[in-house]
Amino acid sequence: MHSYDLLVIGGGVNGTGIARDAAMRGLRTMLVEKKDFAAGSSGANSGMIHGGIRYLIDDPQVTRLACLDSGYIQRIAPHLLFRIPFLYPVLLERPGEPTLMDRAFLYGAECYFEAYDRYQPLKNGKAHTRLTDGELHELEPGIVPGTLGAVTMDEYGIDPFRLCTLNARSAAAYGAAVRNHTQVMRLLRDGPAVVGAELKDLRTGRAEEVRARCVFNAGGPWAPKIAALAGVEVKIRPSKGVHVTLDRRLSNYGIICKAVDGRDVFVMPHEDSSIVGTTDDDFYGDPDDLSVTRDEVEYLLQAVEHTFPAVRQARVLRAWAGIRPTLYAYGPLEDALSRDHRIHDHEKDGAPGFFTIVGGKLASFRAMAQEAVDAVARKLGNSAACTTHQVALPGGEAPAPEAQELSRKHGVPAFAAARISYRHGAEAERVLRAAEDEPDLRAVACSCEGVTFAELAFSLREEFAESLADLRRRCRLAMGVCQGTRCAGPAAALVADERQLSSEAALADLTALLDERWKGNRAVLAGEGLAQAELVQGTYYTTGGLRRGGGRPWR
Amino acid sequence: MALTTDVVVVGGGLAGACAALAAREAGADVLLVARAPGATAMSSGAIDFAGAEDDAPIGEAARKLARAAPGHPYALLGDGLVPAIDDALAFLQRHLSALGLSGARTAADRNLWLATPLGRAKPAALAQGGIAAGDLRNLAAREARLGVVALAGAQAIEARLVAKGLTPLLAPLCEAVVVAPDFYRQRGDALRTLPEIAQDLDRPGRRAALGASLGRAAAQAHATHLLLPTLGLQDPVAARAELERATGVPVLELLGAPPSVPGLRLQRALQAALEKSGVRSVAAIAERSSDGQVQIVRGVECEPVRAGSVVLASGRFLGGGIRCEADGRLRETVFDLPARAAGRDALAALPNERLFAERAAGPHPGLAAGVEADSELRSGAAFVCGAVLGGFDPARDEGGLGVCAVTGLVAGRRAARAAGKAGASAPAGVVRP
Repeated sequence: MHSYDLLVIGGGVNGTGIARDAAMRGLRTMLVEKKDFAAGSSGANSGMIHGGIRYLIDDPQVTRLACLDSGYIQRIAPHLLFRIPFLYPVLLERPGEPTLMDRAFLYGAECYFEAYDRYQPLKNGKAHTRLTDGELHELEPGIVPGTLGAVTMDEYGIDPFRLCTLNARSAAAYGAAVRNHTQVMRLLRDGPAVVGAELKDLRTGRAEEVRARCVFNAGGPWAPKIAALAGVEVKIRPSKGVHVTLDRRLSNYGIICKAVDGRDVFVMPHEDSSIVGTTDDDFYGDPDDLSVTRDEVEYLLQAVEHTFPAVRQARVLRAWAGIRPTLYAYGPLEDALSRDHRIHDHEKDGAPGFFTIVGGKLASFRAMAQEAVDAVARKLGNSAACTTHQVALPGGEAPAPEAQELSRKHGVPAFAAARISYRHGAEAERVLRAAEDEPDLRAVACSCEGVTFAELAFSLREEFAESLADLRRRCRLAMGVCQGTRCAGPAAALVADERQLSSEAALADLTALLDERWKGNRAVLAGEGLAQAELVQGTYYTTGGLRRGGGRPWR
Repeated sequence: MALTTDVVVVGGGLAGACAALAAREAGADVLLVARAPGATAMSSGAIDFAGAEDDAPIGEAARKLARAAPGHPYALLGDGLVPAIDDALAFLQRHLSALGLSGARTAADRNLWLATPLGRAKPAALAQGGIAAGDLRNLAAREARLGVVALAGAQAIEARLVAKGLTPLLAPLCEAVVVAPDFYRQRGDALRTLPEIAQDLDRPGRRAALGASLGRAAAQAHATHLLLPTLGLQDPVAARAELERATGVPVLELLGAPPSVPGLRLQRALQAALEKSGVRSVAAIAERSSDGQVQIVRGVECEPVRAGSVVLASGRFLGGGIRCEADGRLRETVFDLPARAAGRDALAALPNERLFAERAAGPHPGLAAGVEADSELRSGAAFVCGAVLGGFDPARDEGGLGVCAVTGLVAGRRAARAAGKAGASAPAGVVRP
């Protein structure tokens, strides 16, 4: 039986972050995830490493931590971050002359942003500026006319899927055993102590027992379920957040819009698309089974339309949901819940060796992981220092190569080279090296998101990708405007090659990807989205013959 | 100045072209208005009337579709369905001979089983020459070694999946192997898409070079047949003959996924057939004029059309004939005819299990949205055919282009008759006076 110092359960940003930190401190570490890295909440957020300005008044420590850690994340993964200047337009309550209330509101907003300015240097952000209505429309003509002006704020976007994958890879590079598609079936006990787990590889069905001196539950919304395996109660107040993806960059600025109920809804540029979000509603269902309603989509679009009417010209590609594992409190409205995090040492609950982390924010994952590993290290007598804020994640060690140069050198189109350079930073050369020996890998698999087969092969060979869905998370395969219409089939052929899959297994994987894409499209079908759906049906079912099984259909 | 014609057809895909050709055959003067190539150009190019789980003859499978779904266009044709399919099969072979179209002769025949880009089998009644010759039922019945040709880049990667999929379908007599000729050896060749490879093969010198390279590779792999991803855009019949001469083995062709080369060829062949038969075609947008007639818009010019009758063949969502507005309301885009899906005029309360299944594979009645027509294929003042007609789902019925051909033919003949033309060639049972 393999034996570890620490078994981390959950491959979200907390779990991968904890595994990396622990492995870097020399702890013998194993990371298990039942689906894939960032397949849950960590991949279903706005993709922002933001400073948490919302929490400035109630949770200033959350804001400070998020800003501080944002700065560190910029240092360790500079290629993955992109600056998003935000605009906060102040709309008049009624058309005409601004009222005293309007003016007071703008003044209040500016004071608020000024307070936030104190934290901006921590994350290399610029101080806020105040814009007149004219200046605002010079920057972004799409905003409704006749505002009182706007306030700006600096934030950063990130690809959260790659962030988790890179943490997992880094953990592996420091010696951690990393297993996705592996579920914890039960926890091993020695008296009251939690001393390991029985694991099941969900792809092969193979079971395995591993021993660990400590077990860390980083299951996010699944944390209560995992805690129950140890007979421990962990309470969270789960809350569902819905986003929609638009087919275009509605604006190069993030825009803060007011929803019908007064909540702030953001529209943010993200790669070639825009993300609109989010909702915040108590959730009582199964985090494995999320769906989005028409009402949730309409609420978000209405919020943006109020400030940016042309949003209705954009095509809504899909809607998606995630669950926030927010700290439990009875009473407050969802929005007012603390975004702070909590680390439980369940020794006090009669389960020594078992820990849980809940709450927190993507932007402060590294600091939370540090705190989590500190707790384990104390228990295990490890006194090595945390260096996760100093040592780069894979690809962050040096500046990313320039796209034109990469394109010339490796014979891939420049638009794909640019995306590889963003996603892989200093590792871009390594990603494309495979194409030198296997020239077919130069081909573009997905022209929407500039994904070459070389990049897919790299993720299959080096990044623990096993399926098309894993490739989607790592390479943005099928995440662009055509939602997999063109790339899913060719990519399935590559997975079949790399994993020696039968035709049946390869097409089952393809079906799973198409089902997952359809789930998000189905909630927003209208306009051109229906033409796209018709094309997907034509490509895979009418022409491809995917619906029929593999048996011989003729007599 | 108004354009005057007996019949105006809106839409230039397979349904519109069949309607125009049929009306022309019946002696009508025909004007065809098409905005742009639509779903036909993106199709596999194979013409499927109806699939059947039990591999039943095409007519029988079509009658089963009509019985199962009263809203299916086949159900509207009543007892005329099977004669109409017979008629369409002969009609298509006659007008599309340049494609070497072959397969079923009558509705009593069974489907061909064609190799798909995913390595599965798709049933269709008619296919273009090299594709039809690749009928898997036929191949599986003989001792053969099918060389699936991997040329370059994405296509080469996909060829391996095709070979993997076909192997169990063809066993035990026939086996599928990958054949990789040394034809594309330049650094940039991996970036070629399938339409680009097709264009390359249209050049005589390049085709000859491929023939030589393929001949060597086929011999080395002991292939008795070669399955190519494409035979070019221009003249697949000649290309096939040339490659067969060069390699000494039968050359077959794979179906195309969008952007589909066989689909583009079908669209071009329809255009040529329309020209040959004297149908006037204009590239323009058709819309309803204020007096309820048709007018066409080209750039800033707007011309009224005075027509004896109107055929609507404007396609579904992909073709642009049906649109779902942001509020969920379904709209027929030319005449604002009532459009419905599963009996509703809006796709509003989504997600709706009755309209869209949870799995991508369907069934999705919402995607079968369209105009409802009477047994004469009429809706309002127009005859309606093809995908703008609701009630059929090509992905599930395995009948798409075939439905377009049958309804196009019937609508075209009836439109000619309504415009006062005799329709001499219509067989009994299809066109009732």
